[in-house]
Amino acid sequence: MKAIRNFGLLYILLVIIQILITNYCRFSTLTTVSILPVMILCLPLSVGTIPAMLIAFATGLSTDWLSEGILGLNALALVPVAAVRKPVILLFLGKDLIERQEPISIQKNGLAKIFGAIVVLQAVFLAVYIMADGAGVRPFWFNAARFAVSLAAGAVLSLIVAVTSLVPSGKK
Amino acid sequence: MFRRGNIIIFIVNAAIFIALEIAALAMLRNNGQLQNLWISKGAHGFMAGVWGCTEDIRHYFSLKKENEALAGMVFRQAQALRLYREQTGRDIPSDTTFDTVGNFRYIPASVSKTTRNSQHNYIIIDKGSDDGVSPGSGIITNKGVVGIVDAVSRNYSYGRSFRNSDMVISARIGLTGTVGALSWDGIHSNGAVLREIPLHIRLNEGDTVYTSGFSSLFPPDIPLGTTGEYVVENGATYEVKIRLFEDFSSVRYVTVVSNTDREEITELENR
Repeated sequence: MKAIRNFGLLYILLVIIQILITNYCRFSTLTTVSILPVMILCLPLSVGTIPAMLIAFATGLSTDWLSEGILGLNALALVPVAAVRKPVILLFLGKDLIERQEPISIQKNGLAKIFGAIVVLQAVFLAVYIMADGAGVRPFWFNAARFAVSLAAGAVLSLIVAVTSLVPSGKK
Repeated sequence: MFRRGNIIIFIVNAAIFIALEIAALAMLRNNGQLQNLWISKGAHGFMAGVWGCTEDIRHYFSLKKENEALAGMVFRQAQALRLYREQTGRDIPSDTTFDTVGNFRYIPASVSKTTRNSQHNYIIIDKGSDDGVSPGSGIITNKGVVGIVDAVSRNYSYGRSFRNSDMVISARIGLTGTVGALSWDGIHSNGAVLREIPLHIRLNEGDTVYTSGFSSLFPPDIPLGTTGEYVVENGATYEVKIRLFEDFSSVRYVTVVSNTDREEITELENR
């Protein structure tokens, strides 16, 4: 119970960090830095796909609402991340983790596998986000460059978030 | 092997996913001008795809009827050719081009889209300016008038359907009878009204109504329908109900007809 409450507080803190990133950290038009996908990845595995999608929608919406974006953009991009979260975990971290509903751990699962899962979820998020943000008016090369740069930046930042926020092995 | 429970969970997940995405898209549409256009374009594309698919299925199941009609038409054409040979004693020259007869040029086309349930129905055909279609051309079948081309792109043409409350064409009762103004009755798919028929004209139910040829849009003598009941309108003229031959719900193949002298006629009218 305490772990869930702690995670809830950490989650709210990460949302605030994301809002600050969106509002104040604009590196270039090619960069969209987001830690929202890793936040969805780090949700406890006891949270099913439907609650995860609802959490993703609410998170995306609150981020949109409190930052200078278009309302609905983050929500649109984050719901697919929640929808594919479990298959991605299954692919990179194994079936056992889902069946036992263990927390994701850097020590136990390995940094490389977690990074792989982060990259995939970040790619799903960015693909939808950049497509919807561009609304079909930006050229393909611009979207592709934005996707690559944002994926690199977002994946590195997300890994840092994962390392600092995931429960170390053995602790509950 | 999927278990039943898994399938239900998958369906529920998919339904909630779609609902949340639609909600997000709706918000995006209301808050971003570019996104509004993009989503509208996507939605229209999706609807066109679905519509085209259902239309193709509908056409597939009407192929038998279509084939029978085509076979009948081919037989009638062959009979007309035999009659021509018998009467003239010669064959049609092999270099004869059939697209222009008299003052009218005929272009075969297929219906890409048509509406049926509105007071202002329209029709889109798969021939455009590259095929020689121009605004103001008529759209006909061998069973009557289907519409008038309003706008053309390179490969498609947009036309007003005859089933349009403001469309009027010139029609004649019998091949040599009185001319009146024919328009859709706005209710039935095969119902029309012929107005401006003088009171001294004797009307018989079941007479065939043809295009008059008094406009530059349609050639004369295209059979349109048969006369039905009639009433006196404003004490001055008859209003005659017409049962059209054309079944607008199954129009698939049409002919675009353009008057080759239309520009000259229009120029003369504008003087």
